[in-house]
Amino acid sequence: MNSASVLLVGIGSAHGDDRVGWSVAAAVAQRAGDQVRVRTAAAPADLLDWLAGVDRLHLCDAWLTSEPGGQLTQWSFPDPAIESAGFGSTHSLSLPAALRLAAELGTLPREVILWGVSIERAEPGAPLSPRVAAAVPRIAERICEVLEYA
Amino acid sequence: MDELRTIRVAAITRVEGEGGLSIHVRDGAVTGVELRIFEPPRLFEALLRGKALEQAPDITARICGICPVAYQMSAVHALEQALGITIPPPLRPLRRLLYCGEWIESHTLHVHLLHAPDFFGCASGLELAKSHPEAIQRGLQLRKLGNRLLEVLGGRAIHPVNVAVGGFYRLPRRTELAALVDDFARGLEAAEAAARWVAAFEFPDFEQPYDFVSLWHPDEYPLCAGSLRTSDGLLLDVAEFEQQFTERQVPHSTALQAVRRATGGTYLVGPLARLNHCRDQLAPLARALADELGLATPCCNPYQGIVARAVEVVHAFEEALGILRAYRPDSEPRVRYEPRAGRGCAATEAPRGLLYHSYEIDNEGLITRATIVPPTSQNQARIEEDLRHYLPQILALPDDEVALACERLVRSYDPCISCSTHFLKVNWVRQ
Repeated sequence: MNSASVLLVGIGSAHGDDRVGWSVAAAVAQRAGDQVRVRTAAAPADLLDWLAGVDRLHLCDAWLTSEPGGQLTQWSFPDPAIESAGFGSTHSLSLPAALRLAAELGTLPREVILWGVSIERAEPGAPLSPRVAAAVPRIAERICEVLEYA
Repeated sequence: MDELRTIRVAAITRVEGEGGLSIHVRDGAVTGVELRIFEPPRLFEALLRGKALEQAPDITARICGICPVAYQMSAVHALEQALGITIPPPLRPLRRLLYCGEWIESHTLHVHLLHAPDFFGCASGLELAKSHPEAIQRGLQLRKLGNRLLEVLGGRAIHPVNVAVGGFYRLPRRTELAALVDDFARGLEAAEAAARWVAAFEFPDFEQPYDFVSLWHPDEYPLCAGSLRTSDGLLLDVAEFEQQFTERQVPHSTALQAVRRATGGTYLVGPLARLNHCRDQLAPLARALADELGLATPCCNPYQGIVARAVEVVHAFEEALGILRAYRPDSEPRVRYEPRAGRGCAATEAPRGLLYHSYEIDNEGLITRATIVPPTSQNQARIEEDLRHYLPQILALPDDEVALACERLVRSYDPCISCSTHFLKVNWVRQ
């Protein structure tokens, strides 16, 4: 695996289970070491600065849904399901919009995988819920498997 | 036979918030223009009543995710007046610096992703990115620098949390601001290039005799302080705002519309107003650039608001760079005070124009009355008037082209509909 061409970005905030993207990113960094470049972002638009030379982009973000917290769903961009899944933003570019913009700018990597982690709520300043926290190692392991063997 | 024609824009795109437009035409003459703002009222003024005055900056910041600093600035200046306190002089440039970050972030978003697509016949910023990737990437980089200022000085880019009545909760270390200098020097060059790009656009031939209203200050481009200046020559203390301007409710909008109290006339706030009143106060490079671009005053073409905005971005970078280089954290972060009953008001210059706040507080420091007049409320009636004057030029076009042309004109004012709908006036009819 060419580590220079693989980027994993955890997207989130410091509010409850919305931080799961950051937690998964930290767990992947610990597990994969130098094999994967790992970054965290508070806004999807941050991605646009990090794509030069990236061949495979993996994103992990919380996904507010009716499913129990900690369930993992994988999408490959572009996929209409991503647009309707609720990765919106009230204040900045949404994740799908940031990816579409990267595509128009010609900077979108060959492979873009979005890992959505279901969450039920995101309370201001709260820690991860026990259910979502317990799922983080399993999610990181799954992402590492895909990055290693895809 | 009467011929009725109604043109509707169900939802205006590429503006902040939810609004539409209805145009009524009878026998070839425009009989009505309604900028329909249907975003639900948000009732912030009532929400503030009974709250501790210290909460006002953070509550009012929630009115807008694009210009929260403007709300914080107008709130703290008004409340400091009510308390009879003045912030230590070293904190003043820091407040201007924070505001520069917001102007950069807000203006570059509007210039590149919301407004510029209109000049290329593009339906969206995404479409423009395909044909002009360098310009859009430059705009994104500029916006990011604005956000970085907000993060360093405000604690975070969206709804910053570091603005306090009396100053700031925490002052940045010198190294935190010094670390931004090189990027802002490059940003200044990029902002100049962006302004040259924008100034070369082809602007529709449409001018109006605007009554511009903005702050004016003899020594600085207006952000946090100054007198109220109008195009008919008034120079007033901000405390006279409510004597000079009044708000009215119209049936088709959840936002109030502001007009001149004496005449009932509309007026325009925002970058064009500031530029027309305060061109001499632009920072040197920004002023030289305005000269180079032929941006003379009076400038009464609303489409050229995008050039004024781009020049203001240059000003913001230039001023920010000076403050970043000179900063020494040699002050207490905020001045202490004891609550006391009082009234205070202030106006500051939000990216979209004059933002007026007025508060009354009681002896315990609780807010008993709040009045907030945002820029889009002030511009709303003027936008409708401009549409009435503009429409006769384009009525021969098919409905969809008329609608598109009107949307483009509305976008040139950079309306923030979310900001404007903070109020609902309820008329009780009791029988």
